[in-house]
Order: sequence, then structure tokens, then C-alpha cells
Amino acid sequence: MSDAGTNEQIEKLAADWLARRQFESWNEDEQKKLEAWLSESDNHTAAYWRLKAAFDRTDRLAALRHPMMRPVSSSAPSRKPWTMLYAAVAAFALIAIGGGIAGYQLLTPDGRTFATPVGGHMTVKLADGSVIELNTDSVLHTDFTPEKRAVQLLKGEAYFQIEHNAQRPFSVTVGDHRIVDLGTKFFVRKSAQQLDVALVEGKARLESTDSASNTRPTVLMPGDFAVATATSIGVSRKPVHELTDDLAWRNGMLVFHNARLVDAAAEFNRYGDTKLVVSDSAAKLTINGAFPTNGAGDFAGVTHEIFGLHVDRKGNDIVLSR
Amino acid sequence: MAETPINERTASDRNGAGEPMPTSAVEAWFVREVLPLEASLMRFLQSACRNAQEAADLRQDVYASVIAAARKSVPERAKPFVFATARNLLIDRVRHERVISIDTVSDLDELGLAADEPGQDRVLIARDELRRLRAAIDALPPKCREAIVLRRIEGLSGREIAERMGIDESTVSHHINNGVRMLAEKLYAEEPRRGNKS
Repeated sequence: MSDAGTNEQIEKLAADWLARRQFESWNEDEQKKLEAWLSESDNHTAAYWRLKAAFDRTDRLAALRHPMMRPVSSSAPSRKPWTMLYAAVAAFALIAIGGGIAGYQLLTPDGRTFATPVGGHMTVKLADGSVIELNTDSVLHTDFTPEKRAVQLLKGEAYFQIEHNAQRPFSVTVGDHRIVDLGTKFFVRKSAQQLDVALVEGKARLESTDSASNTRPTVLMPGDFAVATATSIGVSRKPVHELTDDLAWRNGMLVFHNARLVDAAAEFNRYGDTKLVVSDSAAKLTINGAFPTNGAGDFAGVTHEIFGLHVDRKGNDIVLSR
Repeated sequence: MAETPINERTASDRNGAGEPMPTSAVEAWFVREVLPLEASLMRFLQSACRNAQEAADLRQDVYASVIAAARKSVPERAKPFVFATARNLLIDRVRHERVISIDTVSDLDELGLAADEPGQDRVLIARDELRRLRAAIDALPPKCREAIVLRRIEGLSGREIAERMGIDESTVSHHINNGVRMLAEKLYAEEPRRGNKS
């Protein structure tokens, strides 16, 4: 038997082997080394088997992502109307990022357009070091000159990590509003009626581009959550962890805190072709938890477990009712 | 290895002659029969050890010893065997004055084996398992959780996780390393729920 303390080290080594197996570089040679290490001692074997079994158990979460539906198309994004729109204008290139669903980049004479399909997620690294992440079903246009970095969010949601450069300001225009970076991380979401801007770090200015508007520019600080409509800008504060949860989509997750079912369903519906429909009787039930963005079916299963809701598939819809 | 029925009593009938068990069979047995006992085993060990770390250390020795035995012949009933092994190792440590006092050992019978009920502990209920997994993952520190979720739920490779998180691969490896150890600690710390008798 080993000395006290050594088992802790063995466990770390076992976890190392397990971690290493998750990389592409894992090969037969590595596998042989692992087997040799395991055969050195039953303490090695015990530690490794124990951790591996725990790790393997998480498989069930992945397996339950689509418990009652066929998987939503996972890689090749289907052609959406907007691809038709742009296809004639410019050649488009599929950007494969992270092996998952990515998005399209279109080169147009006045800049570049990036777009993601429903369920897509794309990271754009800009030459100045700034990073933009596009969420599902989003379109973003960049127009960079030596004097300015102008970005337009035409649709959807994006997260910005901006390298500040006072000589070359970075601005995001969404409809009638513009966010001017003062060195920051923030995210912007455009919906039919309103614009949401949340500041994670740094400072930014939110202003109206409509000269007729009488809303005054607002400086946003970390934790500020601004909602802008055609006629007003309102700012509230959110705890940072809630803002972080709002950004869980960057990791392919949705996080809900006391969310009404009808709102949670609307979130899922942004990400997939399968639509969750919540009956009025169930709409106001509230739910907590974290789910993969493509886990609408899993989510439906959970509402069945927790609230005993009926789950009915109708074509592309999953209807939840009491 | 074929699935064995939940209440199967003899895993090793053919093994009387000392023919070694295939490693895969031993692993399957270990995962199915021994690991679900970890919560009660840890309670047993902690009652005899000075701190949780000692108990965890001893637990590894128990597992190693159980595996060594199972390679020769898989015990018919896991629970009494695991606890007997734990008890022997405790006594062994007392002899070497390493961990515990003699007084503690005299209580072992009451502590460990009185509650022995074969065949029930390991029945898991799927939905319970799902909640448990979620809770365990939610409890991880953010970076570890992110790495584990991207790997296990999103199915990204190590390199892809590094890209997505904007960190290098060795840091991803580090997060997975810590994450999986915490995950195991959390998952095995809970008593598997007892299933309905069938």
C-alpha cells in the first residue's frame, strides 16, 4: 500500500491521463503509456477507473439533449432566406470555428458581413485584437477604416471584447442607437421592439443616432443593463453573475433564474427549428437551471418531470400543457 | 462485456479455478458494484480517521486492494467484501500507528456492517441521476465547469475548447483535471437512491 499523501498525487496523475485523452493528440502510443501506468499498481487503476466512471456518467447529460426528437442539424447550416439575399452579391465562405456550427462571412465592397444561422455561434477575431462573438440567427456588418471601427448589428445578438484605441473609436450601431466603446466588454441584443445592451467590463456610451430624438447619451458602467426603444433609454443594474448567465450562450448554454416557462421557451426557440409552445395554463410556472441551447427537447422532458406537464409533439412544435 | 441483471448474485461462477478475470470485467464490476458504495464507505472511514483527507487516502487503498482481489475472483457480494477490506486496512494502519486509535477499531462492527442490505444500493433512477449530474456540474468552479461542459455536453475536443475559451491547451487540461476530480467527489458523495423492490 502506498504512503499517506501519495494517493492524492496518484489521483492527480489519473486525472491528467483522463484530461489528456480529451485532446486530438491522443494516439496509440499515448494509450500504451496509459496502460503501462495502470499496470504499475492497482492504486493507479483504482484512481483512474473511479474518475473515468464519474466522467463517463456525464454522458447521460449529452445523451439526453434530444430525448424525444431527432437532433437539430448540427453542422452544415441550412440555407436561410438571408443567404439567398447575399449570395448574389458576394461569394461567401463557411468559417469553421470550434468544429461546431459556425456562420458565414461575406465580403462586400464596403466591408465584411458576418452571419450565423439559427443555432449558430461564431467568433470573429479582428486584426486589432478585438473579438466579437455572434449568437444564433445574427447578422453583423463591419466597416473599418484607419480612422474608425464601425460595426452594425443588423439582427440578433453579439458579445464584444474591444481593444480600446482613442484614435480609432469602436462603435456599434443598432437601428437608431449607437454604442461607443470606451474600452470594454459588452453585449448587444436586437429584438423587434427594443435593444438591450449590457456592460460586463469597462465603460461605453449609448446614444441615439436619430437627431430628432431627445434622449441623452448615457454612459454605461459594469453591471448596467440598458434597454433602448425608439423613444427612451432605461438603465437598470444586474448582479454580475446574472450578466454572466445571460452570456452563457457563448458556451452553448442557456441559464434561467426563476424564468417563466413561456420566456424560457422563447429563448430556446431562438436556437432551433423545433419550437416550444407553452399553453396559457403553464406559461407562468417558473423554472431554474442550465440547459444546452439545443436542448429544447431535454427542457420539455424536465418540465414533464418537475411540473407533470403533458409533452406533445406536433410537427416541428413541442407543446407543453397542464 | 454483457450487461448483468441488477440482482445477479454470482459474477464469477466460472472463476473457481483461479483463472484471472479480464480487466474489462473487473472494471465493469468495480464501476457497477463498488463505486456506488462510496458514500457509505466514506462515512465508515471518516468515523475512524482524523480528517477527510486521510479517509480519501484510505479509500484509494481499499479500492486498490478490492481490485487486486477481484482480478483473481470477483466477490459474490460486493458490499460485505468492500467493508471487510476497509476494516482490515484500518486495523493494518492501527498496527503501524499511522491513523487511528485502537478504541476506534473496536467500534467497527457496529459502524460498518450492521446496515448491510445486499442488492439495493445500486439501483439508480434515471431522472434522479440527471438532477444529480446537473447539480454536480453546477457546483464546479466556472472555468472547470465550462471546460467539462464543452467537452462532455458540447462534444468539443481539447483544442476546440482552448479556442473557445481563449486559453491554451495546458490550461484546458488543468481545468479538466480539477473538474473531473471534484465531479467524482461530488457524485460519489451522495448515496445512490434506493430503487423500488421488484
